[in-house]
Parts: sequence; C-alpha cells; structure tokens
Amino acid sequence: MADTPELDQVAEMRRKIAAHAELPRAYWVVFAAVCVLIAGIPIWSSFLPGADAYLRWGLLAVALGSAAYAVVRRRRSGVYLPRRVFAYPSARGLWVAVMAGTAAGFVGVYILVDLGQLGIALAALVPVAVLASVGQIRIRTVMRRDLEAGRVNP
Amino acid sequence: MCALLQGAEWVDFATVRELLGVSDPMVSKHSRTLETAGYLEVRKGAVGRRPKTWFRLTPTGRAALLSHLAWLTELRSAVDQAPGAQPSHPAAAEAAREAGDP
Repeated sequence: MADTPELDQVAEMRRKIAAHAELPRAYWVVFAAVCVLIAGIPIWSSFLPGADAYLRWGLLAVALGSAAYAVVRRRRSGVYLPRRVFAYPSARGLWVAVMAGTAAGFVGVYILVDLGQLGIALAALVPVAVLASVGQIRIRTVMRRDLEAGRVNP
Repeated sequence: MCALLQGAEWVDFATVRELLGVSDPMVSKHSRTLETAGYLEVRKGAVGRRPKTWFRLTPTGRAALLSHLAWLTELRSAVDQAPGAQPSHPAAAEAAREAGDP
C-alpha cells in the first residue's frame, strides 16, 4: 500500500500550529527582569519606605502590559491557543512544580528581608528569576510537544 | 484543516489559508462542508472595521478526527506488519531491515 500522506499532513499541520506556543526571546528577557523586580519588592520597600504606592502601580502596569501583549499577539497571529495550562496534559505537573518553586523563592526573599539579611536576599533574586524563567520556558516547550502530538483538548 | 484546528481554540480564516497553503475559495468550500456535517463552528466578527471569520472544531468534529486518525494509524500498522509488504513509513522500513525482513 502506498504511504499515508494524510498522517504526514496531520503531523505537519500540528507542527505549524504548535509553533505558535513558543514566545520570542525578547519576551523571556523582559520576563526575567520583571521576575527580579517582583521578587525584590520587599527589598525595594525596605530601601524606599514611602514607595509602596509606586510599587503597587508598577505591579498593575506589569499585569496590564502582560495582558495587552497576550491579546495583541493572539490577534496578530490569528491563532487562539488554549490559555489554561491544564488543557496541556504533559505540562500540568511541571507547571505545579514551577509555581511551587517560584512561590517558595518569593517567600524565601520575604523571610530573608524580615530577618534583616538584605545582602543574601539580593543575591537570592537571581536564582529565583532564573528558576521562574527557565521553568516557564520549559513549560512552553512541553506545551508545544503536546500540540504536536495532538494531546491538547481545548 | 481539522488537524490544524484540533489543538487551538479558534483560528482565523486568513491564518488557516496561509498555513494550509490553499486559496480562499478552497477554505470556504471545506469549511462549509465541515460546518454542514457538524464538525466545525464558524464565528463571524470584526476587528476594528475589518470583518473576520474564525473557525474551531466542535466536540463532534474532534471525536470524528481522532477516530479517523486512529483508523489510519491502525491501517498503516497492519500494512507494515503484513508479510512481504513494503513498509509505508521510514521508521518501519528501518525496523524491518534490522529484523532481517527482505
């Protein structure tokens, strides 16, 4: 029997749609920088005691900017992938682990600042940002693999 | 087209046309057929003043696609395992050579 080009076509189409799960490098650079800023909020608050309102507005700006980026990106590409990570079976466990690790890192920085260890807290910002960024990149890669394998259920 | 829509919530008309590499009438024709069969949901709207059309598979369409792909995969396995048959897939051909199959 001749080969099955239909299955090859299906694989190719899945690969094309899966490419939209990846985010550009510039996004991850900004993401890492924002992670450092957010994880360091207790540190910046201790250096600048009256800056809480500015920090809150900064957080709001980050949240709005992130939402706007997502909307514009989906609209421009014309591809609306499932937003819930739980639609991607292989990414669920990894997402929970990365979120738990990132939260633990943020809490750790808070505790270090509470204990007066500002130097150590500052040094801890980099590994926390790296964990969050690398973790999210890995989650995106796994999401892409799920799309290529046809495992996603929107 | 169904494979393209399988993993996505919505894909717009122009993107479907570009990714499939076919013409507008072809996309329209196939989308009408799929919609009539209950496999496709079509949403019409606008972004600013520009009219837009988005597609997504219905649960029925998703189930039909998975069923069809499972059948094709089974068919390919059966053909590759048949004695004297030419494997249809490069990986199956390699496995047959290693097993000493002529």
